[in-house]
Amino acid sequence: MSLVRQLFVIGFLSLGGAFLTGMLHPDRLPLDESGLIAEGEITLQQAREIAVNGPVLWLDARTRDVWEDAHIPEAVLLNEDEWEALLPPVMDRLLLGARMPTVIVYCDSRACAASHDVAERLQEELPLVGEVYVLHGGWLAWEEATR
Amino acid sequence: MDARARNVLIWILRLGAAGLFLYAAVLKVLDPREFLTAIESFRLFPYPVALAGVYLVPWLEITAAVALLTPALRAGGVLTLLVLMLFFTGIIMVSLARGLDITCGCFGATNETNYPLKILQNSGIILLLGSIALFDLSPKARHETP
Repeated sequence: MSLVRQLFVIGFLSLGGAFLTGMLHPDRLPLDESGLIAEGEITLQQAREIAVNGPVLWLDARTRDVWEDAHIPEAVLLNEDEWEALLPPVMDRLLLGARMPTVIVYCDSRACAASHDVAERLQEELPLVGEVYVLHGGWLAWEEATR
Repeated sequence: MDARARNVLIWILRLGAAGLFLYAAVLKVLDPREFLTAIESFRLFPYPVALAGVYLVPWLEITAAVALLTPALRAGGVLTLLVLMLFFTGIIMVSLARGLDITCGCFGATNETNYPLKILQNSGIILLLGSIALFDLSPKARHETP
Protein backbone atom coordinates (compact mmCIF):
# COMPACT_ATOMS: atom_id res chain seq x y z
CA MET A 1 0.00 0.00 0.00
CA SER A 2 1.42 3.43 -0.87
CA LEU A 3 2.37 5.79 1.95
CA VAL A 4 -0.36 8.27 0.98
CA ARG A 5 -2.98 5.51 1.08
CA GLN A 6 -1.69 4.37 4.50
CA LEU A 7 -1.98 7.92 5.86
CA PHE A 8 -5.48 8.18 4.43
CA VAL A 9 -6.53 4.93 6.18
CA ILE A 10 -5.03 6.11 9.50
CA GLY A 11 -6.74 9.51 9.16
CA PHE A 12 -10.08 7.97 8.26
CA LEU A 13 -10.04 5.49 11.15
CA SER A 14 -8.96 8.24 13.57
CA LEU A 15 -11.80 10.50 12.46
CA GLY A 16 -14.24 7.62 12.99
CA GLY A 17 -12.91 6.94 16.49
CA ALA A 18 -12.92 10.63 17.37
CA PHE A 19 -16.49 11.04 16.14
CA LEU A 20 -17.75 8.02 18.09
CA THR A 21 -15.96 9.14 21.26
CA GLY A 22 -17.41 12.62 20.88
CA MET A 23 -20.91 11.18 20.53
CA LEU A 24 -20.80 8.34 23.05
CA HIS A 25 -18.34 9.31 25.82
CA PRO A 26 -20.12 9.47 29.21
CA ASP A 27 -18.24 12.69 30.02
CA ARG A 28 -18.48 14.23 26.54
CA LEU A 29 -17.68 17.90 26.19
CA PRO A 30 -20.25 20.47 25.01
CA LEU A 31 -20.01 21.88 21.50
CA ASP A 32 -20.45 25.38 22.91
CA GLU A 33 -17.88 26.64 25.42
CA SER A 34 -20.60 28.17 27.61
CA GLY A 35 -21.72 24.62 28.45
CA LEU A 36 -18.52 24.24 30.49
CA ILE A 37 -19.46 26.82 33.11
CA ALA A 38 -19.15 25.14 36.50
CA GLU A 39 -21.22 25.75 39.62
CA GLY A 40 -20.31 29.05 41.25
CA GLU A 41 -18.87 30.48 38.04
CA ILE A 42 -20.18 33.45 36.07
CA THR A 43 -19.31 34.74 32.63
CA LEU A 44 -17.67 38.10 32.08
CA GLN A 45 -20.96 39.41 30.73
CA GLN A 46 -22.77 38.39 33.92
CA ALA A 47 -19.98 39.94 36.01
CA ARG A 48 -20.39 43.23 34.17
CA GLU A 49 -24.15 43.16 34.77
CA ILE A 50 -23.56 42.63 38.50
CA ALA A 51 -21.10 45.54 38.50
CA VAL A 52 -23.72 47.81 36.90
CA ASN A 53 -26.23 47.02 39.66
CA GLY A 54 -24.00 47.23 42.73
CA PRO A 55 -20.50 47.24 44.17
CA VAL A 56 -18.09 44.53 43.07
CA LEU A 57 -14.76 43.53 44.56
CA TRP A 58 -12.50 41.80 42.07
CA LEU A 59 -10.02 39.41 43.65
CA ASP A 60 -6.99 38.27 41.69
CA ALA A 61 -5.97 34.77 42.81
CA ARG A 62 -2.85 34.61 40.63
CA THR A 63 0.71 35.15 41.83
CA ARG A 64 2.05 38.59 42.78
CA ASP A 65 4.35 38.70 39.72
CA VAL A 66 1.56 38.40 37.18
CA TRP A 67 -0.77 40.64 39.20
CA GLU A 68 1.88 43.38 39.18
CA ASP A 69 2.31 42.86 35.47
CA ALA A 70 -1.39 43.39 34.66
CA HIS A 71 -4.77 42.86 36.31
CA ILE A 72 -8.44 43.82 36.08
CA PRO A 73 -8.76 47.49 37.12
CA GLU A 74 -9.07 47.83 40.91
CA ALA A 75 -8.64 44.08 41.42
CA VAL A 76 -7.08 43.23 44.78
CA LEU A 77 -4.48 40.49 45.07
CA LEU A 78 -5.49 37.50 47.20
CA ASN A 79 -3.68 34.23 46.66
CA GLU A 80 -3.07 31.27 48.93
CA ASP A 81 0.72 31.79 48.98
CA GLU A 82 0.36 35.12 50.81
CA TRP A 83 -3.05 34.54 52.35
CA GLU A 84 -2.33 35.81 55.88
CA ALA A 85 -0.75 39.05 54.66
CA LEU A 86 -3.26 39.75 51.90
CA LEU A 87 -6.50 38.99 53.72
CA PRO A 88 -6.63 42.12 55.99
CA PRO A 89 -6.69 44.61 53.07
CA VAL A 90 -9.37 42.50 51.41
CA MET A 91 -11.44 42.65 54.62
CA ASP A 92 -10.98 46.43 54.69
CA ARG A 93 -12.27 46.67 51.14
CA LEU A 94 -15.23 44.44 51.94
CA LEU A 95 -16.28 46.62 54.87
CA LEU A 96 -15.48 49.94 53.18
CA GLY A 97 -18.85 50.79 51.65
CA ALA A 98 -22.39 50.89 52.96
CA ARG A 99 -23.18 47.74 51.04
CA MET A 100 -21.23 44.48 51.02
CA PRO A 101 -19.76 44.10 47.53
CA THR A 102 -20.22 41.01 45.40
CA VAL A 103 -16.87 39.25 45.25
CA ILE A 104 -15.65 37.96 41.89
CA VAL A 105 -12.47 35.89 41.99
CA TYR A 106 -10.38 35.10 38.94
CA CYS A 107 -7.15 33.35 38.11
CA ASP A 108 -5.33 32.83 34.85
CA SER A 109 -7.76 30.84 32.72
CA ARG A 110 -10.21 27.97 32.87
CA ALA A 111 -7.21 25.67 33.29
CA CYS A 112 -6.33 27.01 36.75
CA ALA A 113 -8.04 26.12 40.01
CA ALA A 114 -6.70 28.96 42.18
CA SER A 115 -9.84 31.10 41.85
CA HIS A 116 -12.07 28.27 43.08
CA ASP A 117 -9.69 27.56 45.96
CA VAL A 118 -9.58 31.23 47.01
CA ALA A 119 -13.38 31.61 46.70
CA GLU A 120 -13.93 28.53 48.83
CA ARG A 121 -11.41 29.55 51.49
CA LEU A 122 -12.78 33.09 51.61
CA GLN A 123 -16.29 31.79 52.30
CA GLU A 124 -14.95 29.43 54.96
CA GLU A 125 -12.93 32.08 56.78
CA LEU A 126 -15.31 35.00 56.31
CA PRO A 127 -18.81 33.55 56.62
CA LEU A 128 -20.29 37.04 56.55
CA VAL A 129 -18.99 37.76 53.08
CA GLY A 130 -21.81 38.19 50.58
CA GLU A 131 -22.02 36.55 47.22
CA VAL A 132 -18.77 35.08 45.90
CA TYR A 133 -18.37 34.04 42.27
CA VAL A 134 -15.55 32.77 40.10
CA LEU A 135 -15.00 34.41 36.72
CA HIS A 136 -15.29 31.73 34.03
CA GLY A 137 -12.19 31.87 31.83
CA GLY A 138 -10.37 34.15 34.27
CA TRP A 139 -7.85 36.76 33.23
CA LEU A 140 -7.63 35.23 29.75
CA ALA A 141 -11.36 35.88 29.19
CA TRP A 142 -10.96 39.48 30.39
CA GLU A 143 -7.89 40.02 28.22
CA GLU A 144 -9.66 38.65 25.14
CA ALA A 145 -12.77 40.75 25.76
CA THR A 146 -10.83 43.97 26.22
CA ARG A 147 -8.29 43.43 23.44
CA MET B 1 24.36 -6.97 13.23
CA ASP B 2 22.79 -9.83 11.29
CA ALA B 3 19.31 -9.56 9.74
CA ARG B 4 17.62 -11.66 12.42
CA ALA B 5 19.01 -9.59 15.32
CA ARG B 6 18.08 -6.41 13.47
CA ASN B 7 14.50 -7.63 13.01
CA VAL B 8 14.19 -8.51 16.70
CA LEU B 9 15.51 -5.07 17.65
CA ILE B 10 13.15 -3.22 15.33
CA TRP B 11 10.19 -5.19 16.68
CA ILE B 12 11.16 -4.29 20.25
CA LEU B 13 11.34 -0.62 19.25
CA ARG B 14 7.96 -0.80 17.47
CA LEU B 15 6.30 -2.52 20.45
CA GLY B 16 7.81 0.02 22.84
CA ALA B 17 6.62 2.99 20.79
CA ALA B 18 3.16 1.50 20.19
CA GLY B 19 2.73 0.72 23.91
CA LEU B 20 3.80 4.23 24.88
CA PHE B 21 1.36 5.95 22.52
CA LEU B 22 -1.51 3.57 23.33
CA TYR B 23 -1.03 4.27 27.04
CA ALA B 24 -0.93 8.05 26.49
CA ALA B 25 -3.98 7.91 24.21
CA VAL B 26 -6.12 5.81 26.56
CA LEU B 27 -5.52 8.31 29.39
CA LYS B 28 -6.68 11.13 27.09
CA VAL B 29 -9.77 9.24 25.91
CA LEU B 30 -10.76 8.39 29.49
CA ASP B 31 -10.55 11.99 30.72
CA PRO B 32 -11.38 14.44 27.90
CA ARG B 33 -11.88 17.34 30.34
CA GLU B 34 -8.38 17.07 31.67
CA PHE B 35 -6.95 16.88 28.15
CA LEU B 36 -9.01 19.94 27.15
CA THR B 37 -7.51 21.83 30.11
CA ALA B 38 -4.06 20.78 28.95
CA ILE B 39 -4.70 21.93 25.36
CA GLU B 40 -6.17 25.24 26.51
CA SER B 41 -3.18 25.95 28.74
CA PHE B 42 -1.12 26.43 25.55
CA ARG B 43 -3.36 29.42 24.68
CA LEU B 44 -2.95 28.74 20.99
CA PHE B 45 -6.29 27.30 19.96
CA PRO B 46 -9.88 28.58 20.10
CA TYR B 47 -12.40 26.29 21.82
CA PRO B 48 -13.73 24.54 18.68
CA VAL B 49 -10.17 23.62 17.60
CA ALA B 50 -9.27 22.47 21.13
CA LEU B 51 -12.44 20.38 21.25
CA ALA B 52 -11.60 18.70 17.93
CA GLY B 53 -8.08 18.06 19.22
CA VAL B 54 -9.41 16.48 22.43
CA TYR B 55 -11.05 13.72 20.41
CA LEU B 56 -8.85 13.49 17.34
CA VAL B 57 -5.33 13.48 18.85
CA PRO B 58 -5.79 10.36 21.02
CA TRP B 59 -7.39 8.49 18.12
CA LEU B 60 -4.53 9.45 15.81
CA GLU B 61 -2.20 8.04 18.47
CA ILE B 62 -4.23 4.83 18.84
CA THR B 63 -4.62 4.24 15.10
CA ALA B 64 -0.99 5.06 14.34
CA ALA B 65 0.23 2.87 17.21
CA VAL B 66 -1.80 -0.08 15.89
CA ALA B 67 -0.63 0.73 12.35
CA LEU B 68 2.96 0.55 13.59
CA LEU B 69 2.37 -3.14 14.36
CA THR B 70 0.50 -3.82 11.09
CA PRO B 71 2.87 -4.62 8.20
CA ALA B 72 0.69 -2.97 5.52
CA LEU B 73 0.37 0.32 7.49
CA ARG B 74 3.71 0.48 9.29
CA ALA B 75 5.26 3.36 7.34
CA GLY B 76 2.11 5.49 7.70
CA GLY B 77 1.99 4.73 11.43
CA VAL B 78 5.53 5.79 12.17
CA LEU B 79 5.21 8.91 10.01
CA THR B 80 1.98 9.95 11.77
CA LEU B 81 3.53 9.48 15.22
CA LEU B 82 6.66 11.35 14.19
CA VAL B 83 4.64 14.31 12.88
CA LEU B 84 2.51 14.32 16.06
CA MET B 85 5.60 14.34 18.30
CA LEU B 86 7.24 17.14 16.30
CA PHE B 87 3.99 19.12 16.57
CA PHE B 88 3.70 18.54 20.36
CA THR B 89 7.34 19.49 20.90
CA GLY B 90 6.91 22.57 18.72
CA ILE B 91 4.00 23.90 20.76
CA ILE B 92 5.80 23.12 24.03
CA MET B 93 8.77 25.16 22.80
CA VAL B 94 6.46 28.02 21.76
CA SER B 95 4.96 27.94 25.28
CA LEU B 96 8.43 27.99 26.81
CA ALA B 97 9.29 31.05 24.71
CA ARG B 98 6.04 32.73 25.83
CA GLY B 99 6.72 31.91 29.49
CA LEU B 100 3.46 29.99 29.92
CA ASP B 101 2.77 27.52 32.71
CA ILE B 102 1.39 24.63 30.71
CA THR B 103 -0.06 21.42 32.07
CA CYS B 104 0.94 19.29 29.06
CA GLY B 105 -1.43 16.39 29.76
CA CYS B 106 0.82 14.09 27.77
CA PHE B 107 0.49 11.11 30.07
CA GLY B 108 -2.52 12.21 32.03
CA ALA B 109 -0.40 14.40 34.31
CA THR B 110 -1.41 18.00 34.84
CA ASN B 111 1.33 18.99 37.25
CA GLU B 112 3.61 22.00 37.06
CA THR B 113 5.64 22.29 33.89
CA ASN B 114 9.19 21.05 33.88
CA TYR B 115 10.18 22.28 30.42
CA PRO B 116 13.70 20.81 30.22
CA LEU B 117 12.42 17.38 31.31
CA LYS B 118 9.46 17.56 28.90
CA ILE B 119 11.66 18.54 25.94
CA LEU B 120 14.19 15.84 26.86
CA GLN B 121 11.40 13.26 27.10
CA ASN B 122 9.98 14.28 23.72
CA SER B 123 13.44 14.26 22.14
CA GLY B 124 13.88 10.68 23.34
CA ILE B 125 10.56 9.64 21.80
CA ILE B 126 11.42 11.43 18.53
CA LEU B 127 14.75 9.59 18.50
CA LEU B 128 12.93 6.29 19.04
CA LEU B 129 10.46 7.01 16.24
CA GLY B 130 13.27 8.28 14.02
CA SER B 131 15.09 4.96 14.43
CA ILE B 132 11.95 3.04 13.48
CA ALA B 133 11.29 5.44 10.57
CA LEU B 134 14.80 4.92 9.21
CA PHE B 135 13.96 1.26 8.92
CA ASP B 136 10.25 1.33 8.01
CA LEU B 137 10.38 4.26 5.59
CA SER B 138 13.36 2.99 3.61
CA PRO B 139 12.30 1.73 0.15
CA LYS B 140 13.97 -1.62 0.85
CA ALA B 141 12.15 -2.15 4.14
CA ARG B 142 8.81 -1.28 2.60
CA HIS B 143 9.15 -4.26 0.33
CA GLU B 144 10.37 -6.61 3.07
CA THR B 145 8.05 -7.07 6.02
CA PRO B 146 9.84 -8.63 9.02
